[in-house]
Amino acid sequence: MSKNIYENATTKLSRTRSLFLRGWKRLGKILSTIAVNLFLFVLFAWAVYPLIWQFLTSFRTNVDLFANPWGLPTSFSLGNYVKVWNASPLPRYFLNSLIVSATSTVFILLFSSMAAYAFARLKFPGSTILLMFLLSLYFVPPHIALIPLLVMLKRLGLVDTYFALILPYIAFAIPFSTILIRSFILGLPQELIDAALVDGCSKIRLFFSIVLPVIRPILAVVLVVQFVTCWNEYLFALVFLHSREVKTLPVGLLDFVGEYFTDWVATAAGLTLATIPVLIVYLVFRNQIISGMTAGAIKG
Amino acid sequence: MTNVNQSGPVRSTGRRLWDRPHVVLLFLLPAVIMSVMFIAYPAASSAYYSLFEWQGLGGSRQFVGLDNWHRLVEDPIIWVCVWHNIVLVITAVFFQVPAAFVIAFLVARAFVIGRSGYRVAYFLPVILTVSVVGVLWTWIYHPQFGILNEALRGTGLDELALPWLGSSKTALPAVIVVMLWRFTGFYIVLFMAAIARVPEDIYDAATVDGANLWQLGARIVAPMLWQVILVAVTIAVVSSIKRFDLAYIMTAGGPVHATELLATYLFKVGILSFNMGYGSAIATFLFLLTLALVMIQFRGMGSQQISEF
Repeated sequence: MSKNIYENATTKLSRTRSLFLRGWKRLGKILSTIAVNLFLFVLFAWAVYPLIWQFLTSFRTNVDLFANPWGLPTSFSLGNYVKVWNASPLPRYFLNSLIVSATSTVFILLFSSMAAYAFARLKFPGSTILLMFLLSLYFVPPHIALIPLLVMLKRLGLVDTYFALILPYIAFAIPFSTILIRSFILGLPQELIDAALVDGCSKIRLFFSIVLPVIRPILAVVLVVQFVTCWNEYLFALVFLHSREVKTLPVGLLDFVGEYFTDWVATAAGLTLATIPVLIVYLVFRNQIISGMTAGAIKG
Repeated sequence: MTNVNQSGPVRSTGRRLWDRPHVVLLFLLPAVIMSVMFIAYPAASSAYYSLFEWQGLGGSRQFVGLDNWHRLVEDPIIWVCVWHNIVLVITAVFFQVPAAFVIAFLVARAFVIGRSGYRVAYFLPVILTVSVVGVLWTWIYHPQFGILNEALRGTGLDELALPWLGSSKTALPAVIVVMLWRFTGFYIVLFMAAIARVPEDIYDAATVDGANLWQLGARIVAPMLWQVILVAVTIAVVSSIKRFDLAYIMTAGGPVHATELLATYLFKVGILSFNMGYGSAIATFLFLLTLALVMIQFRGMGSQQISEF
């Protein structure tokens, strides 16, 4: 009897204890989930707020801004944009960046996919060594080539022309792009290419009419990644170009900032104008850009 | 008869030029020529130029042997730069990459609202034009009108409202914060892609065994993704040594070399002061330092990898 009561009491106690513990655990789980979400949201705000602030500032006046840097625009005016677009060489820098990036990207795509096809589909003496050589060039920092490239471009009479950027941009993009496209071709079913060969297709035609259409997905990735990389490149543009007529946006933008030194709101409009194309390309092609920029690392 | 016999080979040689397998070797030519001419050759020239005293593009070139390398070893600024670059490496390897892994794991596996939005937002700073980033953060740090000091003053922390980029004590940390802002998203997204490739049943099995989120991340996922972590660390080391843009745009290496890096010093010496021989020595040194660090890191992490499994 007494034993029974005792047992009853202990089971009851352990049941309440386990219920209490389970509740406690659940509370802890909820709290930690809230903490995690809060933490990630703070990081989110940290990542995007500077850009939002720049955007808001571009609609304000300097007097208003310096009185309260954190404030919101009190009135909505495109005046800063009109001023910057009409009075500064920013449109010219835009055009230059577009010409340089587009030309470079076209040749990067062509040369890299040609080389990638040869590496993927052909065994020839020294092919592995050549591939390793190309791979090792991927790790050469542009800084080490900077001074000799300047000397070479000067001798060729190319300094201060679009070619001074286009040629090195193509070259420095080739190793990475070739490796990326090659691994994509290796993943294709061999029958696809064999069938075309049986039909008596020549190698050259095979490449342009069969291979290029099939590798379009990876070409899209290379295209957006290299376009954005060329658009943003700073070091070569700083060293190889001097005059306003050819300067690209990253360097031109800083000249512009230097000129409008005290006019923060006009500068913010200029910075926003420079950001918009990149932002649009990023939001539209975000999956290609992200997978392209991280693919090399994951395939390793 | 003979005509018929000949016509076969003749016709086939006409086709053979485009049909021979090795015509595809021609496909390699543009890529190989471009990369040898504009990467390999200039990179090798740098080592050669470092043996000359050479002032300016038009100036005369004079062979001086290892004089530039002597000068490099005895130049105190070089060692200041090396120290700053090492600080960048340490921050990236021991803080940025681990933090990115934790963040990526939380976004991927914890109960998170707005997962895909976080991925896009965290990566955003990576693709912005560097001059925009540099100018924007120079404003944020502005002693008088910057939103950082404005916020500090607004919350009563007046004595913390420092001239962030203007003082040699705070300039380097301030620049490093911007580098973290700009590049951490890259590693987060890299790790998210890798974590997504871990098979779902591994998580299920671990959860059944009663593992919580932290144990799951630290004991199961991190060891599984050791290869990717190794690659991320390599990228972090290599890019920390060649950092140039942000430091040059925000502080130009100042005040008084407080944020001077090997790449900014190389630019000042070789391009701005036209000292191309010595500049080439610094460039070659930068490259050798990168190689050495990558090798050390591969040795260290390679052996650890073996003991993990």
